[in-house]
Amino acid sequence: MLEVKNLRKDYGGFLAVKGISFQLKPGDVFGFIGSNGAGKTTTIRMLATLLEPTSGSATLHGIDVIEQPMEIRRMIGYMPDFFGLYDDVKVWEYLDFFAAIYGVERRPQVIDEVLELTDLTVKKDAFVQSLSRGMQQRLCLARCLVHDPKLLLLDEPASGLDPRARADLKELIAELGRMGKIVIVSSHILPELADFCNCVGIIERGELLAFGAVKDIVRQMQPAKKLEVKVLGESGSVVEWLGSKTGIDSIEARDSETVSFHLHGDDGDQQQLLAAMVAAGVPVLTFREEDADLEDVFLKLTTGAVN
Amino acid sequence: MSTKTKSPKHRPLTTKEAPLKQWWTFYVSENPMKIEIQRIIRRFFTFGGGNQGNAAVFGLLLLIFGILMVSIVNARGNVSPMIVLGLYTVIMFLLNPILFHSTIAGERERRSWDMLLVAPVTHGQIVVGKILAGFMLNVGVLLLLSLPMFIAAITYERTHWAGLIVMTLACLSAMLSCAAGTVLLSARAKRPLVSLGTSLGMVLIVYLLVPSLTASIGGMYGDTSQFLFVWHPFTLFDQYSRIESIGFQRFGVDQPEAMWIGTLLLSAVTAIAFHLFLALVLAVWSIKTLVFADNEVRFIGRGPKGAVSDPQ
Repeated sequence: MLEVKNLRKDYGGFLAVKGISFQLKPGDVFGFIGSNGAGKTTTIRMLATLLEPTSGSATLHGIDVIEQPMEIRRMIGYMPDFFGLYDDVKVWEYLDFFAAIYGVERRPQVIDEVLELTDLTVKKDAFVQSLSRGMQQRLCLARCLVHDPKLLLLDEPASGLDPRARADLKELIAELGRMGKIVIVSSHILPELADFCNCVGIIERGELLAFGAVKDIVRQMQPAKKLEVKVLGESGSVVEWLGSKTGIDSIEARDSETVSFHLHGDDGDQQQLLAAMVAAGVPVLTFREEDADLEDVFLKLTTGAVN
Repeated sequence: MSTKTKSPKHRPLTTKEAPLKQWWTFYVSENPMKIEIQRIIRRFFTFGGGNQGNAAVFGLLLLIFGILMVSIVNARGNVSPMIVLGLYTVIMFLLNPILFHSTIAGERERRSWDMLLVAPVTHGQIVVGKILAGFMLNVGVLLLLSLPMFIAAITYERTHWAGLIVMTLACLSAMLSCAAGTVLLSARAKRPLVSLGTSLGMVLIVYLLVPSLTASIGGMYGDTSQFLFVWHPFTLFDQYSRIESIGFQRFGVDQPEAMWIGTLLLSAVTAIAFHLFLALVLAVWSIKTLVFADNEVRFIGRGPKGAVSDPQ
């Protein structure tokens, strides 16, 4: 369990992080969202023991980040936003170097395991400098994993990656979450975060504006459900039918067959609406709630102001 | 995937062990950063990729080794082992800055520094690990050159073994302080090139310019420079030459051999003590340099005012 309480960082009068608090449990993949300069990296660096908080506390499985940084370092894997690798060594040598520093036993076996997990086995004997950007990113992640950390702090891990590498990384992070690790990922690419994060936090000017499951945050910000119905034939009659119902607004015909609208209600209301629609003889082909739109929420919550 | 890690290397220093032993355990024998030595070795023995520079240095050393071997065999007992040791000293004084100027500045520039800082090692262990790696390379080169030096020593009739050994140890201690100095300048510099320039400059000033000037000035007012530069390897070479020359009156020597041997031993012990102490001071200075988290300095731009020191 990671517990962050009122964490604050003050650089001699300049407040970079203004007392943020949240809790994460094993298996949580937490998306940390914010503009440049919002305080994401500072927060992550405080959790990584690279910066000492001015006040507040953070504990990982009961161990205090400030009081016992050495113990914490054994439990975390940190991937900075910008990083370099030793390019004059081979991939396995690079991992062996860090495995030795972390005091890992059975180093060759562990290196093989992390290379397999990060899909770099074929590059084991390649020089680090010969790797593509995506592979270097994965190697950096592999380095974070050699000591089997409980908490992974990934600062903009997908920046500069092509779509394929990004998709691979996304899958890898999701897998790490399934392995029971707490993963904190900061990113600007919001739709991707919504895909694999089970909770997100939106930070601006050092303040955590929202924290929770993506759906919950969207629900808070958008009380109405955004639904879409596709019918067989013309959608005009459906628009008319929906217009006659209470609790429905923003009805919009997207094309000749599809209509989107907002429903003010809960899951029960949604189910009743569908039943009523079918009972009324509306030829429903599909009826679905549109995915939570994190980007909309982010834009609504934040002003774009930076520290 | 589950990984077992060894018991913590950062056990608190207990009062049961002697302080020196505690220090040795923490910074040397159980320092995880000893792997840096292996990394250096791999850099020199892994060919290809980004290792052309390292391979070139290795090739150069092999070339010097070959030339020395041929020269010494051809000279048939006319080459003093001191020549090999002198050559080693000059080469390593120049190679140390070239090879180790980027130990810390390079990590910063490459942005790999943070990854070391989040590892469970202290700044002290990082610095000592890097100095040890640099020193071990110096030892490695000495081992490489020890064969021609040994051949020269056994074939040269005036070799004084005890003098040669203490002189070698003194040279090694000088290399240790040189490696520590390079690491310090690397820790203080923002860019590796700045570190390289200052390291080379420092070596030239400390080991060449100042002794030469002092010797020149000293020569005018009575030579006291040898007393001032008892730590300098070349002072020891000079004293060793006097031992070799006894009986040949090359320096107009008329003192008994024992006196010269005594002088050399005293100078060598002084030099070793001086360089060990200097290495310690430079290492501590390097560690102190790293106490301020780099990020805080970068973040604020103007030094660590109000910034908190590294949590360790």
